Amino acid sequence: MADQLARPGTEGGMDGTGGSVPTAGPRAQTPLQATNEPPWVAQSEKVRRAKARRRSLIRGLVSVVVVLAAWEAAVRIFQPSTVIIVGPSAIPAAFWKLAESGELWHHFSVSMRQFLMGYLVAVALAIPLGLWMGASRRAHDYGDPWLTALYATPNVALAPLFVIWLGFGDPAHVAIIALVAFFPVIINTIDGVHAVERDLREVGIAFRANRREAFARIDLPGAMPYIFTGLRLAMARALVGIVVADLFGAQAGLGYLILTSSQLFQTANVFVGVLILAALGVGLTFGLRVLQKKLTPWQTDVKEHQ
Amino acid sequence: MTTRETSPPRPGTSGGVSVRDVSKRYATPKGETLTVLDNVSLDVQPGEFVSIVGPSGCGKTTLLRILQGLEQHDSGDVLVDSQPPGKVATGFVFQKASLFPWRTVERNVSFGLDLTVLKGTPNQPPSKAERKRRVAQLLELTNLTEFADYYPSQISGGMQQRVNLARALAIQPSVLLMDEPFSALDAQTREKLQRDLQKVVAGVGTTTVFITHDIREAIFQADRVFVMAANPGRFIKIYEIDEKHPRGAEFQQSDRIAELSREIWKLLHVPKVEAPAVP
Repeated sequence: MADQLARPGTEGGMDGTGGSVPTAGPRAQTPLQATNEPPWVAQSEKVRRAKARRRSLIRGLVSVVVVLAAWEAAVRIFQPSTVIIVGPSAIPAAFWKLAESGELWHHFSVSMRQFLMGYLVAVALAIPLGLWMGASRRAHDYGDPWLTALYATPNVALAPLFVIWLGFGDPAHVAIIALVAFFPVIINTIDGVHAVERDLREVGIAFRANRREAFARIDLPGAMPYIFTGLRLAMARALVGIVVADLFGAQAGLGYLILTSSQLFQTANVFVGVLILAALGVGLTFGLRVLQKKLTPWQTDVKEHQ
Repeated sequence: MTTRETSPPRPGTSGGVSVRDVSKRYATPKGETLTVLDNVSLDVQPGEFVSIVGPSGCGKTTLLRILQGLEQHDSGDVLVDSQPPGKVATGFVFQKASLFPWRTVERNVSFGLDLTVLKGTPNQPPSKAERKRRVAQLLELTNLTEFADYYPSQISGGMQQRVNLARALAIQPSVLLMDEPFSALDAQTREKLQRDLQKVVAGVGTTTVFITHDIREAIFQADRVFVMAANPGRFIKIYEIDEKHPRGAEFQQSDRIAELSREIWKLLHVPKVEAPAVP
């Protein structure tokens, strides 16, 4: 019988009519030459991915809604003092009150100014230094002990020093934020340059690219995905830096708002400050991802280096 | 690969290669001296295609890297297009495609063209438009035109090797050096690319030194096959392959290649006469 020849999956002989169907049926459609196969992803695969993405999004939303609802319910049932905790429904009201008086904008703008200055100073120093240390053995040897020692020290412990040196104003805040943001960027930049494949460097040598060309066309683009990882980690740490700097003396700022509100037992206001910082973190991370996609269109994922 | 006659303009004449009594030694971690190349001599005529075939570790890659100026030899003389290595523009096709993942196919091919080292030489057209046209010609020649805007990660291994080849040819090198460029590919892709290379090189007429451990491939491509033995690395025999370029599938599958490759295989697998090494 021909059925004995049918392979699993061919299923030719089961309906009684196709018993003699040649076994090559479904296989003949597979092209032998893979060389010129179009590299784009099949349409159905795209649809499948889009569906999976939507499902992930819905699950995330469900998670947030459930937790907020549980929080609100717990507060309504047990009715703890508003000094200890408020329900999520109380936060928008507090937010409006703070926003209306202009107080919130004041704190927000002070913090953003410090954040932007500190972050930009850190990035402007860390990327060139990191590229240099990554590309030059000598620069790495001189710089590495300082990097290792300072990175191992909890940076926050240095904050009081900055206050002594720079006073209670913006400069100390900017310096603290810059300090904490500096390390993730420089360390990831160095790693990024080191991660550029030896083979690719050799292409540069074989084509006799000069030092500047090798740096600009091989080391820098090769390190880009790592640099972006550094920028994201630094951003998160800089947000922490905002709060920490305010703890060591401030007249305004989101950290100051959180600190004074807690001292006055205005718990809802504490949450307002915390949520604004959280929203900032989410928004800036998203912005950096968009920027990364734009600047490094060839690659989107790279493992995170802490 | 198209059969159309669109080859890039020739850069005047292609240069020859002259290797005289070249030796290269390495110190092993145990402190012994390993002779990778032992008084090796080789002459490649301008426009000639030479294959060097031998077992892994026989020093063939080292020889190629010396020609490219990536490594220094200990003694002997090397001239590439009448100059010491590293002086004239040589094209190097790497074993791994080694494409820049952040550059599109087109920009990978143009990588060498924009470098300052070529400024003012006939290898680099002075105007941007001309450079662009040359890259377009090479993409056409290697059948990559419609993939010009793809990133390397989006194309197959065989295509990546074609980009690798086009990148080396873009600077119109006086000598093309190829280091086992097809060894990482599957058999079918490899045979196709071997024929593609025939068409491209026959069209361009560049002097080529081609390293491989695949005997049939060496015969199929070359005007002359240099057979190399290891420990120490040296040439043991030279074969002339009298067959017009470009060579096609017919020659690739011919009995002549089969017979000759058997002969070379035997040559490379002579049982060792020397006494076993004392541990």
